[in-house]
Amino acid sequence: MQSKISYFNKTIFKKNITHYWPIWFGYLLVCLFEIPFGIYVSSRDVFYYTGLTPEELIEERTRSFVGLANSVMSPVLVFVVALIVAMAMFSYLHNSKSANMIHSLPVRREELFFTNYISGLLFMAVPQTVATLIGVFVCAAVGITELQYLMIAFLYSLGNMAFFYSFAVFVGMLTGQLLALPVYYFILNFLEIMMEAIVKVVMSGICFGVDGMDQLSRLLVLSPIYFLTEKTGIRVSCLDDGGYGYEVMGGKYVLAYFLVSFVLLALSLFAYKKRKIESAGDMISICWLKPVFRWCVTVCGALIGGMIFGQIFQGTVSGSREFVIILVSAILIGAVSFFIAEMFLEKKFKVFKKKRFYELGIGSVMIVAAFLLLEFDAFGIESRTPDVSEVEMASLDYSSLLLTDEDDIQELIDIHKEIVSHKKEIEAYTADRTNDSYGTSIVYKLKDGSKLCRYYNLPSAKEYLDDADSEMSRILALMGKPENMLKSQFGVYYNENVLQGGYLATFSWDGSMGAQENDITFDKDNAAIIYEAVKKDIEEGNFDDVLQFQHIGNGSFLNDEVYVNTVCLELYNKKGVRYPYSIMEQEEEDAYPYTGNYARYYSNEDYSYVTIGRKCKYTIAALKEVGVITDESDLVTYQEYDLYDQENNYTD
Amino acid sequence: MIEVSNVVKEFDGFRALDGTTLHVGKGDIYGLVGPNGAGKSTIIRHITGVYKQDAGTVLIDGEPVFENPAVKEKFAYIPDELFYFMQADTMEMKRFYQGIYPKFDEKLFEKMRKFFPNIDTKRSIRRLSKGMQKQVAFWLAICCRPEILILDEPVDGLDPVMRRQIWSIIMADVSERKTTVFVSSHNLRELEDVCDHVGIMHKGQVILERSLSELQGSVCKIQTAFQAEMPKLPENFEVLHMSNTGRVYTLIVKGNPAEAREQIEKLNPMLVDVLPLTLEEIFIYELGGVDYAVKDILF
Repeated sequence: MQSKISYFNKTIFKKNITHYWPIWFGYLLVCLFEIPFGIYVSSRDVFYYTGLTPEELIEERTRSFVGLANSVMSPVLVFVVALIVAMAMFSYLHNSKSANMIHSLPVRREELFFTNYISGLLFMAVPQTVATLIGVFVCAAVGITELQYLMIAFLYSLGNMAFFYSFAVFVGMLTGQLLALPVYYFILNFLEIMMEAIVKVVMSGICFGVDGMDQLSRLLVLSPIYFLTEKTGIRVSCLDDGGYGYEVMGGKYVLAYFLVSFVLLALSLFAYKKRKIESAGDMISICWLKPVFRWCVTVCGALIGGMIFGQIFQGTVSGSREFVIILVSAILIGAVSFFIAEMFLEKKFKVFKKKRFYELGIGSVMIVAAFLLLEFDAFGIESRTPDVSEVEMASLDYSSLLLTDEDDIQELIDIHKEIVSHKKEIEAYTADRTNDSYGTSIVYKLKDGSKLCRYYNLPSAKEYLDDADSEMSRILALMGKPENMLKSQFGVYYNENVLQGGYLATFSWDGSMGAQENDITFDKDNAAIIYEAVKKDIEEGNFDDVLQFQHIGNGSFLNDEVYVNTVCLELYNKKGVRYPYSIMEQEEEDAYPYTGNYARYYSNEDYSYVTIGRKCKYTIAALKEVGVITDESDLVTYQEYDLYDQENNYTD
Repeated sequence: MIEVSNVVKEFDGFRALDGTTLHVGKGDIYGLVGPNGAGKSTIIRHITGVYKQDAGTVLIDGEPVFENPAVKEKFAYIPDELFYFMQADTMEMKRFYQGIYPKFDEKLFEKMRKFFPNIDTKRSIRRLSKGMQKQVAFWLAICCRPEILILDEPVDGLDPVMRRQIWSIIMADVSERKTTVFVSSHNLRELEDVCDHVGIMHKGQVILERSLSELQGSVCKIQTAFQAEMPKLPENFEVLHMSNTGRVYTLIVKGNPAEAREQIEKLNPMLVDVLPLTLEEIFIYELGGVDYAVKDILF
């Protein structure tokens, strides 16, 4: 006779409430402090602002309230509380005494599972609901009407709650050790982002041009706490009328994770049904997961080992030696990790069995094979260059230059191909650290939304710069194209900039004090004259030397061609003084829910600092015209600057 | 009542139960004896539905136990290592058991209070002494009105007074309700006075399973002395062991004690005395040939 299946047990539920009251009561206090009390305090604070009209006060109060709602919807608190609740609700599984006792009772596992799951969920949801409801009354009392933000924050919290709690429960089902649960929970929440970063750093040591600081991939969703923290919130923007605009972000992600919580729930139940109670106390409670655990730890250890030693020796040895160092350290540290994992699984130190050595041997061969495949570019990672039709835009030199024109992009792709084809020569050249080289990045934003990022150290000695066909010269030529340079220098809307004023930095020497900077200011009309002159010089290519000097960084042969003096121009643009990098990084910008007055990367005002050279004839003429200098002798080249310092016995 | 057939269980390659088979009849007091590591607790955890066997069957009243609440309601289990919820006092645990076991008898609980005068029912059970914790476990278990009491090393670690008290509680329930008792111990002497059936477990197998009367009726100790040397014993006289001190011979004989006396008397002894064997002596002689750590269960 099999009894009817029940999914809820009142007695166990009551026991949970009475035994774990400190958890739900504690969370209730936190919620009350955060929501109703927070609303009350923030609404009071606003009235201490001075010099605001009643309408502005209301705007500020709303902004403050939305900021509070934004912090309520943050998943961080829920992330931690969900773990604590899951640990409490399913702690009986992680101790053999309690596991034996509970499972000898006339209660099916489904009943135990759902009763404990629901208890835990209610431990979080009820305090949140109570605090939100009281928060609504407080809003009514202080006159806040934008309740929708509080309700959205509440829904976000519930969604996050369901997900993180289900996630913690699922992790709890995979282990028999209570203390391993938080460790696994944290690791699994950050595993993807950590591993991606480590893999990229290791790859940057093995694969020519692969950038360790590359953007994060779409797999970031597998690091839920990081992803939700980045993608959800309320973005506050400053409106032209002085008010604020609010945009709730990340709802679809919260919903998606909420739906995933049902999958996790089903998986947790399945794992519980299959769980062997005797696994209480084991690091991994599911047999077939034990080798997975062992090999995850091994691979992580190998990659971390490779990363650490690769970083230590990066740039100090040749590419092939660096590869060998990475490979050897990965194998050694992977082996150590393998046996450490085995010690945790077996709960003893004597784990050095023949069988395990065979397993490690096979695994190590596979790791070596993977590294060799990367080294010899079997996956085409190094040689990958996009087709121009795939590219939406491209940037060069840390996005200081943005290319949208198809011809420019094609030129960049051609340069990129050239660099890849000269891999051996470039690596051999840069292996000698005494050779002049310049590091530059190439980033393609592809039409499918992804990015392809590369970083290269290119030869930049004088003979390479003198060769118009060298990669460095071609890159500088691309940067020096007037349109590109104007955008880099004055923003992408440079034609609509309105000059506000500016100054020229001049220098004088005063004995032991060394060089003293004296800024000679000029008004907006004069600034406009200088601005036009700079543009003209750029259009005529008179900034070539400056560009070389700035980008190769070792341009001692240009020291007498470029001035230390900087022209600073104060710009205003109603669309914003927006530089190319901000366009390239729009995606990242979207991810950030700014809650202050800085709702975007760029503002309407900015200062542009122009370095000038001897060839910048129009600019020098304009400086003379507005009376900032009388002649070129008022300007100081880098060579003269060093000379004056020496004459004055001043060394920095 | 309890039928365990060919149960196999492995823990990480170690075979803890190797085809365990045992049978407990309704109303029996069944003692499972075996040295530490024999598999007693493991088979009990199968009988209580905690563990799932790799092979074989575990039935109570013909029904599988694992994940079967209807069957699990029939027994109360007192493990060797007790577990109580943190901070829980006796009254709280009573309410818990009351909610879990439909037949929990609250009146009986109150009635039994007088047997446990030293137990402060408002005090956290975890703060009570080990003996008191055991008493609480028995108190609660009996109030569940189980048809079967499953006890794993019930008096292990208790002082003699407490042991006697625990056993008297069990025996009182058995005499009143004909409860079936399945009890494990690594000490045979502990079970001798209470069990009517005994099973011996060794290396994951039950190597012997008999009723106590059957055991005691099948072996006896005869002390005898003859004028001269010991005469030739009859062909059908199965002597398990024989020793002598001077002319006095001590024989451990398999078979009916009365028939054995009759046959010895036919040999005109000077003295003949038939004595019952203690349970430990029976096992020593019955299992003499088995590679068995018999000392572990006797002393």
